[in-house]
Order: sequence, then C-alpha cells, then structure tokens
Amino acid sequence: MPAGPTHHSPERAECPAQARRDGRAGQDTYHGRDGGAGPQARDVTLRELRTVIARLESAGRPCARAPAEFATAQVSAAGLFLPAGALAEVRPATYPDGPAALGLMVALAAGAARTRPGPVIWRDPPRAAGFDWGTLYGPGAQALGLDPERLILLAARREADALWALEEAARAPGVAAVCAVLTGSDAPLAGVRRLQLAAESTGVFLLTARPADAPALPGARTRWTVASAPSAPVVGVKPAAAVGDPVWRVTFEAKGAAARPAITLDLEWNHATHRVCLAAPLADRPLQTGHGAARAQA
Amino acid sequence: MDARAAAAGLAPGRLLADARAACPHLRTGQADPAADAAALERLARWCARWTPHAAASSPPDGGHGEGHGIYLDLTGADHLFGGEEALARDIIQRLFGVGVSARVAIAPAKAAARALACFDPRAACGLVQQAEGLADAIAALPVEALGADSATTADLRALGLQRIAAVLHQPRAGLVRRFGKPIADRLDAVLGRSHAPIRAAPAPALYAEQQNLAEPILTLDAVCALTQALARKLAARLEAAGLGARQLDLSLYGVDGEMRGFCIRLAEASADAAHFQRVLNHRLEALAEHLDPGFGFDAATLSAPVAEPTRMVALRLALDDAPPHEEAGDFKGLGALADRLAARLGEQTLSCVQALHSHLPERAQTRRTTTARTRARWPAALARRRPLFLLAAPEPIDALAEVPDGPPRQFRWRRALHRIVRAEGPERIAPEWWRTEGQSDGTRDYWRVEDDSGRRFWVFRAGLYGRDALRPQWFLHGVGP
Repeated sequence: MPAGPTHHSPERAECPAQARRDGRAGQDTYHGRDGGAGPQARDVTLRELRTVIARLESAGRPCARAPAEFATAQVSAAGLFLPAGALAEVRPATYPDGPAALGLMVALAAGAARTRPGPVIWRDPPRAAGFDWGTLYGPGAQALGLDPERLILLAARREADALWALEEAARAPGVAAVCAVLTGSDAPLAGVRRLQLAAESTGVFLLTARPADAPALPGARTRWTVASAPSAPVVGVKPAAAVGDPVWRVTFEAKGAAARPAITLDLEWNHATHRVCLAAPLADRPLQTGHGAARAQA
Repeated sequence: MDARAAAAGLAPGRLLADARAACPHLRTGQADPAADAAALERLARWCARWTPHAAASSPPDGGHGEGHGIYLDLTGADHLFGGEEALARDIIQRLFGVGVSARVAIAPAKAAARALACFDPRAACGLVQQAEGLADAIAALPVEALGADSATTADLRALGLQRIAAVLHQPRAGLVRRFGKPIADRLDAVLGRSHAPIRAAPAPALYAEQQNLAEPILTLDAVCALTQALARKLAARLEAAGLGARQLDLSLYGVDGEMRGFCIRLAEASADAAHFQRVLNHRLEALAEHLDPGFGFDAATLSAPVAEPTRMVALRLALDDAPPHEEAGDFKGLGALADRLAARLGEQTLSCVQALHSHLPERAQTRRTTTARTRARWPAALARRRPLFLLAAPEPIDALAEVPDGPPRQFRWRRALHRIVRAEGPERIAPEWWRTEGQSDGTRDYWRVEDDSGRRFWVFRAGLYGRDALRPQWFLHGVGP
C-alpha cells in the first residue's frame, strides 16, 4: 500500500505548478466568456479548481485505510465512519455536554483499538476551561469497551509541548490511537498540521476534542458534535429506577474525499455488543420525559 | 594565602591587624571551608579526564595551605598521555589554564606523592619519583611532610628532629613509645611500605566512551555531533557484548574547570545508537539554556553505568494466523517513545492506569510510570456502574431527596440545577476500617443518576440518617459518559 509522505512527495512537488497553470487558465476562460455562456463555463472552471485544491490538500487522496469498527453495520449504513490516519474532531454541543462528548471519544477510541493493535495514547484534559471534569477513570473506560490496560496517559501542561508529544506518539510504530483534548483556543495550527501528517504517515487513529466555544480545527476529516440525550428505559425495570445505556445526539459531518453534509442521529452505546448502535425511537420516550418534568415541577 | 603574601612575611595564625600593618595593601576575605571543599570536589571530578579514579582530599581540621589536594590513581593511565613526565606537565598546564597553580608529584605510594607534592620544591614543575630513589627523596623532606598531627610535629621539632631523615635514624621502638603507633604508620606510608587505596567517589562505568578534543566546542550543534559519535561507539560496544543500556550518563568537561552533565534513565535496555542520539538530543535541547558552555568543552564522556542483557524478540514466522493483538500491557516501541518524551518533558509525561484491589473508587485506580507497570485485572462486574471521569475530590452539592434513604430528586452543582429523571442505586461503599489515615466520613451510598437532558452523574450521600449525622451531606464524585 503506498503510504507516507515520502512516497507522495514528488507528486506534491508538481502540484503547485499545475495549480497555477490551471488557475490562470480558469481565470482567462472566466473573463473571456463573462458575457456569453457564463454559468456553464463557470461551473466547469469551479469544478476543475475544486479538484486541484482537493489534490493540493492531499485530502483528495482516497481513504485507503480501514475505518474503525466502533459501530454496528446499521450506523455505518447511515454514513458514519472514523477513518484511520485522519484527524477527527469531537466537540460538545454545549459546555455541560463535555462528558458526553468525551464518552463518545472513548467509544471511538475503543473501536480504533479493536482495529489496530497497540496502546491508546490519551492526553488528559488539563485543568482548563471547557473540560474540568476530573481524570479519566479506568472502570468507566472499560465500560465503554476500552481496555484500561491499553490506555497510556500523556501529561503535558503546555499546548505546544502536548502537540509535540502527540506527534511523537503518532509517529511511533504500533500505536492504535492518539486521543487529545486540545483546549487552547489558539492551538498552534502548524503543530496540528504536523500531527495530522504524522497520523497520515502511520495510519494511526487521531481523535481530538475541542471545547464547545473553540474554533474548529482546520483539516479535520470528520466532525462529531455531541449532546447528551435521555437514555432508553431498561426492559423489565421501572423507568425511574434504572439508568440505561448512554445515548448521544451526534451531528456528524465529513470533509475531504468522502465529504457529506451534516446529519444528526441518536447513537446508543450497546453494552452487550460493545458497539455504538442507532437508538431506537421509542414510543414512550416523550411521555416519560414529560412525566419527569411534570413531577419535577410539582 | 598565596606565594606573594608569604614573601611579604605573612603566615597563617597572625592577627589581621598585624598583617595589615605589615602589608597595607593586603586583600582579605572570609574563610569558607565548605565552599573550598565543594570547589575541590568539582575540580576532582573534572580531573577524571585523566583517570577515572580521582578523589579530593581536605585536611581533617579544615586547616590552611598544604592539606588540600587531589589524588589521581594513574595506574595504567599514563601511557595514554605520553608517559608520566608528559602527564605531569599536562596536568600543571591545564590546571594553570583554569587558574589553579598546582604542584604535582607522581610517586609509587599515595602518602609519598602527597609529601613530595607539598614539600619538595621540584613539584612546582611536575615531579616524577620512581620507587628506587624514593627513600632518599622522602628523607630530605621536613618532618611536616609526615602528615602527623600538629602536636606530634611540634614535639619532633622540639626534639631537634627537623627532617624525616633524622626521624628515620631514631630507634623505632622508642618513637612508638614516645608518640604512639600513628608515627610508625605515617613513616611506613610515606616510604611506600604500606599501601592505601585511592577511594574515588563514583565507580567507573564499564561501558564508557570518551572523546578528547583539540579545540573546545561551544555550540549546541557541535555538542550534539560529538554525542552522536560517542553514542555510535557506545552502542556498538554494548551490542557486541549483548547488553543494552538502562541509563546513560553524559559528562562534558569545560575548559573553565567545571564539569557539566546529566543522566538519562531509559525505559528498557537498548543498544540502539539512533535511539541514544534522539534521547540525548531532546535532553540537550531542553537543557539548552542551562547548559552554559562557558569557554567551551574540550572533552566528553558518554557512559552506560547500568547495562542489562537486552530482551531478544523472536520473529513470528507464521504470518497467516498471527493474532491481531499482542498481549495487552506489553507494547512494542513504547519504551523508545517513553524515553523521547521523558527526555524532553520529564519522566512523569507518560503514565498508565492500574487497577488496585479496593472498593473505594478513588483508591481503585492508581497511576504508574510505564516502566513500573504490572499486570492487573480490572474487575468487569462493577465497570458499568462507574463514571467515566472521577473528580479529584468529591464536590458537595445541594440535593433534595423525596425520602431520607432515597435518591436526590434534584441537585445544584457548579451553579447549575439538575432535575433527576432516573436514578439507580444505592451502592453502599463502606470505608476501609483497616486504614486509619486519610479516612473520610463514614459509609457512602452511591447513586447513578440521569437528569432530564440525559447527563449522567455519580453522586453519594455521606453517612446514614440517624446514625452518623443528623443531616447527611450529598457529594458529586463523577460524571459521564
């Protein structure tokens, strides 16, 4: 399998020249036919330019690496996937959804760890605004399918140090996934880009979590915006007396070659299969929440 | 007190006022024996460039002048520097370069060398005394050269014994009766009849590579290039012996007489030159500001004081039925990564979580460094009932419960109100009675709760109604997922 930046460097070196050539040609065409058959020619030019840019960004390369087995076939059919060697960004919809977002990230990392051997590097959230929920707890990770024995925690106070360390981890052979909580709103873009290239070269799964109000990381191939949702009732138990498997309301968006518009789904962690599945829309769900709200008001 | 002060007629023990009167432009300072000893110790370590056995020696009474010195065990080291005469000259020149006027004597015995260096005028330009003429050379020295205590020396002088030759002419039995056994021991020591070893502080590493430079180097790049060459040589020697280094010591000898260096511990025994080089480079870069080269370094030693047999990894020949995962907890390549990160960011950078046998949630997990990890089984039964994130310390919440023993109906945490829709519990966790220190309040009843928007919390009530406290307090201990 042709992998790694070294292999692709000749192709990349040619690209800018070609882009300039194409770009100039496109501009000429556009100005020349401005008055005449405009829209059609413009569409053609735009399409050409888009292919060139996609090739330049190297995101246009088809994703040759297997996606993580984090979910059931049903979820994959709905279009959700987590590619290896690409940056995935997980973010809570609002600040209190932080634990839910990190919960999904652990579930995704567990899927990555099933796909690739080796440890999962987890950068602990520093005590900063956005992720002050304490430390990752082994049994909790185990409940989401991630074996705590494969968990390696990385502590780096400064964001630049953390990015360097994560890049080293992503370049190291035999690492399953690199997960990082990047809280700094001014995450050095060059560092993120280097991290991404490192992940591309080894095919490691790269997951980052961002605070709800932080700007999006450029170059993320998949974006997961997570909010908590009420869990399904447990069969055979009085609804108020049991807490079901966690449910996340996920807005998924893919960029690059496999780009697709955002979709919103309710995903449920299935403890029996250790997979994420689609939460079944249940008949009594609205009734139950209404019931709870009414009692709370009373 | 230097030579010019002595020439002006000053001597230790005089009053400062008298000395000032005799010599008005006298410069004086406070005596600091501890700093003197420390400086001598540093100089002795720097002298390890000539031989690994270098030991500083201070007079026991912290006195002046002759007592301070450095012993070098040159056995087998002199030929590396072109013979003993050349070595003595080299020592004097290099020490003169760092501002120390040294008197050097090379002799077959430690005490003899000390006596000659302190009291033979030829020592100022390097004296090499072979075994045959030793007795005559020693005999010509004053009795102070014996190194006996000051009372004995004064008594010998009072008896009219000015030189060691005179002492040697006395009957030995009488001397011992008069002055005790130490005088005989000192005589034997200076004449080389008894042997005392030189005790250098650190034992020399078996695997060490040294590079002496013609010109001092100043830049970080040059130091990195030098360490690269040393790392290659050291790795080749270790590999030939089937060993790997667990620790690397780098010593850089400065032109100014200071030795700088650091030690790096490695996660697993390694004999990989590239890995050594990466780790050393990271540490050198991290230390860049603190590694003041002064006037440059003109020698460097890279040693592996701790070396272990490397683990041989058998190649897996069956390709088709290779298991998809290797044994958990035994990651290939993680040691190299841990070393690189530790060299730049500190040894606590990478850690792993390990299960402990305890029911108390905060004690059920601990953090270990990746090298200290041991296999531990994580109990799967309780995992579903545990939170994803555990707060460092439980945070008090304002909770309202319908019944005293029931779950909270709503609570306020970090200024946000959460209405509880579903609750599971209680899970009663009692304190560990066999532990007395750091034990918090009594029994805890834990509840997993979910609020109306699906957020999950792990809360507990500390204490029981009617037994521990009048009104038990609620705490939040974990969140998620």
